[in-house]
Amino acid sequence: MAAKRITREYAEISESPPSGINVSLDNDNVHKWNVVMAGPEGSPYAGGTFHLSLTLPPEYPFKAPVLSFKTRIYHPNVTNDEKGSMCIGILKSESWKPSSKILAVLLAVQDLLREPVPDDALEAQIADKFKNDRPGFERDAKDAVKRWAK
Amino acid sequence: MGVEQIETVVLLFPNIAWTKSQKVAQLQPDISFAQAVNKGALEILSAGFSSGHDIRGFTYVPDLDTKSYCHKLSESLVPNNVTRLADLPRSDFTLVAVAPWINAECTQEYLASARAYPTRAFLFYLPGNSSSKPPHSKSPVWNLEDQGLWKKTNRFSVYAVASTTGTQLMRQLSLYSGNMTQVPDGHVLAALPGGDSRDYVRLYTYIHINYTVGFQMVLYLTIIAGILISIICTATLVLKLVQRLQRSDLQQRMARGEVDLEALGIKRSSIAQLFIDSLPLYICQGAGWHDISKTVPRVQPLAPVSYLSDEDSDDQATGASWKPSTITPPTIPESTLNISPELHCAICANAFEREGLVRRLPCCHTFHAACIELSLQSSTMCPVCRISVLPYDYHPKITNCLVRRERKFRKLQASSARTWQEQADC
Repeated sequence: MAAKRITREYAEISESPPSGINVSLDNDNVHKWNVVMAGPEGSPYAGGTFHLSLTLPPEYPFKAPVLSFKTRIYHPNVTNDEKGSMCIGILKSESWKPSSKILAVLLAVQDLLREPVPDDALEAQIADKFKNDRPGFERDAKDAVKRWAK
Repeated sequence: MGVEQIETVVLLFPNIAWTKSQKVAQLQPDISFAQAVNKGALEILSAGFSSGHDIRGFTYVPDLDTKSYCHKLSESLVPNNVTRLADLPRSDFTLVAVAPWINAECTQEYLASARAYPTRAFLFYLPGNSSSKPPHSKSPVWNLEDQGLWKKTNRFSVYAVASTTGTQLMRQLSLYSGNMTQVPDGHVLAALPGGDSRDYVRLYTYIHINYTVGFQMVLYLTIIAGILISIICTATLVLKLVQRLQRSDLQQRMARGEVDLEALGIKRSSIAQLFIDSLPLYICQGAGWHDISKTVPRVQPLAPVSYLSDEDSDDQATGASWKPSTITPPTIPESTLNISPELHCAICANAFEREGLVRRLPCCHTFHAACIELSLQSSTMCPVCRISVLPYDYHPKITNCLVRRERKFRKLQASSARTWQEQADC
């Protein structure tokens, strides 16, 4: 059932992709998606192009997908390293529901780029800067976009 | 522990200077003197070192310096021929001193004198004719103006007796101080078998001490123990009651579906398949299912069905492989189930096909029977609204540990709920 549902979801997203999001399969494996996300307009990430990797477990949709940034990003909720692990509410095991869709996950990532959640940060320093020095944070984020996401 | 009685008697004591006999005889009161002061008539001024036995000794009046002022003061109260240390056999006998309490200075002199000898107790009396109990030991009468130092200096106990008792004792001490011919009824005593005129006839004092724990003490201890036990029992009872309330509260919240059972580690696997089977099962049928114009499709309840996969649903619908009914078929209202045919199964994202089997959860969300069965193997919650699908009366064994775990989890959830509230899209 997992493959069937994933295929359907993939088809839906491919047919009418949300603005700024492009998906493709990694080696035709429906359990591994490559996501390309444009930095949302109005955020410090605007103009950047971010590559993400979405892994759907065999138990999907009963288990949440795993999402990570392949492009390095300066963001409180994404680890600032090569792994690019991220923390997002909808994917947490206690809030994941089988009825949640991948589209909703991707839109949530876009929201997270627009508005970081410093209280649930993975990078405490970036979260502090976001809270206490917003202009400084935006400057650093833009610098990081120029360096890594162009 | 306390003094029961101070008893003074007359002892006939062989003079070891002439006889080897050690036989000490207590004289009969009718031919001598005997006095008993019960604990109600005496006051303990200071307790000395307790040896665990009765205190006893020859009764005597300690010597004062003959030139001292106190010696002069006491002359009117202490007869000249009273029993002194010199009137007692030269031996290591223990002693009980008696003296009037004239003033602080003289008492100190008497105590100092008594300390020089193996004195075991000291009886004081206030000069006068009073036969009543002496003033309380805390009374300023007994103040020696040395901040109570005297009580610590003495190794012996100090008692106060009534004025008349002391005076009488003093008079007897003067009577029984000489040799046998001089003491009262001396000729009678000398004629006793074994008696000799050279023997000593002296006053001897016993201070009987009660070392057994008093009944009152036992009563107090029992009461204290009782109070302690009742406090412990009450506390335990209250604790048990509170825990019981917490458990029943958790049970009620579980029944209302407010508790995230999975977060508490209670998995679906602990729930009988029987329960899954009891969830309402419907078969979608009727020509109008795909017909949008008929918004209310006809849905019929079915008996429990052995279920293979949704590909086989057509066979199921024909009733070819229906199992005999082993449990009560679910009951639904007379009216048909109101599902819009546009709806999709939230698990597999496919539409509800005609003739397909669907199950409906208590929260009224409907899924393909195969999908929800799969889902319920890993989660007890509705895949859409996360409300527990467990029956109202179902709850795991609720332990105090579970209550604590749930409370801890709730706190954690409350703090993270603020953060993720905006992302919850139920």
